[in-house]
Amino acid sequence: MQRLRPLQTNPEFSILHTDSFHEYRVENWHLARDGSGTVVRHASAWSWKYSLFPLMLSVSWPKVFAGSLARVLISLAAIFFVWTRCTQVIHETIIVLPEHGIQLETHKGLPPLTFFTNKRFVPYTILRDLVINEGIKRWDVRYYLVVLKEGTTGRVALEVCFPNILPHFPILLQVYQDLREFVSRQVPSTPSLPHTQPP
Amino acid sequence: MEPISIAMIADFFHPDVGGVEGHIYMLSANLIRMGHKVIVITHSRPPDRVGIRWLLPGLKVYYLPFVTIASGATLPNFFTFLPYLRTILIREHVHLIHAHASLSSLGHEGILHSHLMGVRTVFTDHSLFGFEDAASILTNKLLAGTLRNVDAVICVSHTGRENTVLRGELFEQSEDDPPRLVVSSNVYVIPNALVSKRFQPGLLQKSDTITIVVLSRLAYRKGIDLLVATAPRICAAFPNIRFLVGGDGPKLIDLLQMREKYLLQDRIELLGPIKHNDVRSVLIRGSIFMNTSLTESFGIAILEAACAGLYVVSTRVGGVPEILPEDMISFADPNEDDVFRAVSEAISLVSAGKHDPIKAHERVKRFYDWAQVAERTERVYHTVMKSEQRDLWDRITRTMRLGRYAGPIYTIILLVDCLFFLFLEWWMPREDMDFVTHHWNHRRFASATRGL
Repeated sequence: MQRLRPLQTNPEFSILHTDSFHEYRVENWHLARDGSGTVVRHASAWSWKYSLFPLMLSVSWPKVFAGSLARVLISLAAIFFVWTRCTQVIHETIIVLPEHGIQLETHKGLPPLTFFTNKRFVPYTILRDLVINEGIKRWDVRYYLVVLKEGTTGRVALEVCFPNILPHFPILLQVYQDLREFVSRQVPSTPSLPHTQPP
Repeated sequence: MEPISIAMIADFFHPDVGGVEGHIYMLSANLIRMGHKVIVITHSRPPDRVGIRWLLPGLKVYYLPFVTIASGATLPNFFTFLPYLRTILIREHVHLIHAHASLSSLGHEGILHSHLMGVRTVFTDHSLFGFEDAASILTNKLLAGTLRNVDAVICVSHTGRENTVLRGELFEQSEDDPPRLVVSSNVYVIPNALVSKRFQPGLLQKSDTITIVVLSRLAYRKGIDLLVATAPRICAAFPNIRFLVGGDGPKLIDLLQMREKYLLQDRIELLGPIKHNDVRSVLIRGSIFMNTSLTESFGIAILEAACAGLYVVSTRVGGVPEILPEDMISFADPNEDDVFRAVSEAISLVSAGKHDPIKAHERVKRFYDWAQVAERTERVYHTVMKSEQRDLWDRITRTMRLGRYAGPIYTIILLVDCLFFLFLEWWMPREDMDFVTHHWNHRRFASATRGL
């Protein structure tokens, strides 16, 4: 039961195969893409820059009139700061439970501790298809992996996998190819076409 | 020629229907068949035609979020398109962009920004415009500013070429003594084409009534006023004539009023808007096609009608005299009396049975072909790719020569553009983009589905 990292260029992506489930995890960091090999972290544990904030707080708090609007604003700013630091995305995973369905998870917190998790489960009865498409995100164009759900009313809804990290295409292709096997095995309506291999 | 990646940029694309849209689609389809990679960049049609979609046969379309102001054209802004264009051109590894239509501000912006990414530019002009009124003077100067540094210009007819060269100032001083004005060598003429299989003539029917078909957007440019003036005269002079008018637009009211006034409800049938798939079925109901446009750079509707076996009556404007041989079309000056004369001539010709629809279709089939248009366009691309890119100083000096006020304005736009580009290179570095490595591969799709 070992955690594999199948992609050389994207070591933040790891796969875990066990008897009861399969986990595809993308952590919130990546290698610098200019070839230098340095790690670029998007979720950081406490750094020295954060210590400036309590310093500023302790200096400004007594200087301001007690009970004034400024104190309220300072406390709101402090709460906001703590909240943003404690809800950084640590990793996002797809957990495949054979016979049951697919679970999409987002783990947030202060690295390395996890405080909040958001889990969305898509049972095989509802799961219709798995698609990689491109979308416009502000000024950028990104690939995204999406699970198509069709409820009892017939309305189709989308669930984006890895919605916060939005990993690049090589990771999505790997996940897509592995997941297609599970999807085509469980859902009898999807025709199983041969895999797409890179040309 | 080696396969290259081409980006077609235009405001006018499907799901809107029209000549430019059809042209871009057919040209892209044929270029894909020849082995190139083609993508299309256009603006979105909310709420559901947004994002990135695929069209057969492997054509990726980017629907970008821009607000439209009038009839599908976006506002002419000079910088808001750069971030999207930079991301798309870099991630798709585009070599050349092809902008369409003078009224498309996305196309103009594409030409102004592409040199920053080292991408070559080609512009196709589909329409004729005037010179006299205030709007024309301003838009012609905008066009001249855009075409100052473009790599090649393609026009759809020789008349269109003259018009574009004059409007866009595509001429230079030659080195002779005394110096003359010489047209730039990078202006080409490649006509439109049509899919002749879709416009087969109908079965011959012997009947006394002769039906005149009019199919166009009912707008001022299309000369609906001429139709309104001449239709009652024709109906009065020839009792066996019926009119069939298809299309929609602001001038529909005038047609309805004319019909009421002269009590021609049984002689003039108004069909309303016609889908492009149904055009042929409407055309074969008639034997004469009437086009009263006041300006027409190519006239694809005329060609479709001639292909379907109808005899054409048209005003002698723009590029219309270039598209068909003399014996398939009657010309008229754009005034009532001459239009009446031409229609009378056509009616007598068709009544005497001197026009053979089948033979006409066979002739038109051989004139125009999309594969040929794509091949000629590919040759233009090849010439552009082989030529050298102008460097920044050259562009600045050429832009300054646009005019006393337009020159500095456009140069400032160019320089701010460069600064914005540098900012974007820092804000969104190239190496962090999600590059496209997998494109639609038709051979793999065919082999994958062969087993089914």
